[in-house]
Amino acid sequence: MNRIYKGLFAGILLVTLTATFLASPVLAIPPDPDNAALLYYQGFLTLAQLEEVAWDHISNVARGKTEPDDKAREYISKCVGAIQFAEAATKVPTCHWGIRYSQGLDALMPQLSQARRLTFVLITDARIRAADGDYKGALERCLLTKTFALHIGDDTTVSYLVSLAVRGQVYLCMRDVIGRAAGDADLLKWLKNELLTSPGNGLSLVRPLKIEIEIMTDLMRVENVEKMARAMMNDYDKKKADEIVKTATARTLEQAKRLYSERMNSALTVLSTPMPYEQAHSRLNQLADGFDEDDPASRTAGAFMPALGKILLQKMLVDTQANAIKAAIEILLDRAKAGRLADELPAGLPKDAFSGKDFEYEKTKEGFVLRCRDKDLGKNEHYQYEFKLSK
Amino acid sequence: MDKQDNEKWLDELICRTINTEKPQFDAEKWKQKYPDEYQTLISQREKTTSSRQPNIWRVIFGKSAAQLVAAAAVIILVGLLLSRDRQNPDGPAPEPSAVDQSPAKIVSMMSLRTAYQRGGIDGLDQQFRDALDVLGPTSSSISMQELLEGFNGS
Repeated sequence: MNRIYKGLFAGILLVTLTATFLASPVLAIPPDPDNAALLYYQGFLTLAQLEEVAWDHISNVARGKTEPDDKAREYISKCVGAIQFAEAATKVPTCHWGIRYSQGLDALMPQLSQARRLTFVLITDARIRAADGDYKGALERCLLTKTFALHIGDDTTVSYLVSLAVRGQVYLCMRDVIGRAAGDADLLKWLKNELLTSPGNGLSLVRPLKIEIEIMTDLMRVENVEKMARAMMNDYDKKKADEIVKTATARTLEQAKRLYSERMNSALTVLSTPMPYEQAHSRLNQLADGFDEDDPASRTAGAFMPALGKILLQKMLVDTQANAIKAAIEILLDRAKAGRLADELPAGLPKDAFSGKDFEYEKTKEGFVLRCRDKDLGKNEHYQYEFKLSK
Repeated sequence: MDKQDNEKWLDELICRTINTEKPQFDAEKWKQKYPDEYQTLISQREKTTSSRQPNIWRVIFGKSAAQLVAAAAVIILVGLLLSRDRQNPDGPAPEPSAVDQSPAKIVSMMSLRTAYQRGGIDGLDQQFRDALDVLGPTSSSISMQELLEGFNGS
């Protein structure tokens, strides 16, 4: 009898607990996505349908070529949904875009062109805020876009490049906002702290290059030779493709694979080893050059070598922009303390990444300029960052 | 009750049933009684022993080590077979990619990579612009209410 009562009690308890669980309104609502990419994809879907001319206008405002006007405000007001999704996404630490690596070079990455648009929307919104005098709001938008750049990630070399380009846009906008907010020491201190504590860059070219090595070496197989021939040409030419297919044998493909892997692994070593830009650039260019077009194995290996020198330049450029922003904040904090711009560059500031030396500092009528000491070795340009200070 | 207990129990049962002592084997007596058979047995045993090659692995490491080596060999073999299967050169050739015939190829890793190789970051930027032209814009923002209104015909 006692047993029957115990069993009955356990049954009632189980039913009660199940009913409570099922009836609970809190547990019925699933949590928000824990993958930021899902939110960005929704953001892309909610970007307004605008004419091409409108997108060009947004792009020009974002790049600082045009001041924000009523049109820009109208366009951005139509993209509020997308901005809200971006705000939510940047609060989620994990971001997986779901690239189908199994498709190799045929893997589609439509999110990247949409990411470009979303970046322009976010930066234009930042510039509108700055134009309205909301400098903190503008800088918050910049920091949000910086997190977006981090989320774009380093899944592939193209993703890595897009991420760098987005960061470049962020620093360009920050430069203008800092100039306007030059007199607000508290805001500058806040930004300095945000840049110190916000997630670092953390992206590396090593990861996408490792993925690329696997994709390319998989392509250099007899059964993939037609696909490989197509990938080797910038512009498809059937005659050339047929010739590549004809000359490719298991032996030449094996040789190509070995040569390509050796060069790429050496490039990875260069990229993972701290060394001056000039040295890294020279070594990477050596690795990407010197392939014999008349030798099928060498030609194949050469066709798949990425433009390593160009990618390194892109990275150095963005690193230098970031350092220029940090250096400018210190210069302006010093100005706030001293009441005037320093005649000489204060010591211990972040350096020009190209030369590894201090930026060249020059006071101008409108503010100051930070110049790189060395030219970049790709475009042979001297980069400089002008900070125009509001009176 | 295991096999040994079973046999013991059977011996005792037989003894009890037929009322005899347990059968005892006297080797010395048997050798004396059957000398020819004994010699034949000894010669056969020596022949069998000399025909076996001593297994160096068993001598050095014992039986368990030999089993371990055999297991490792099987694992390596299976591993090699699996990796061969992943890159099986005799496997069916991949079907022609549908991406090549699709406008979506403008955003394939291959196209984007080529755009960068050719025109740097500006080339890539142009490719993204073209991609949006080719693939068209996304749907406009629409609220859940508007969506349901569309379905309800209201």
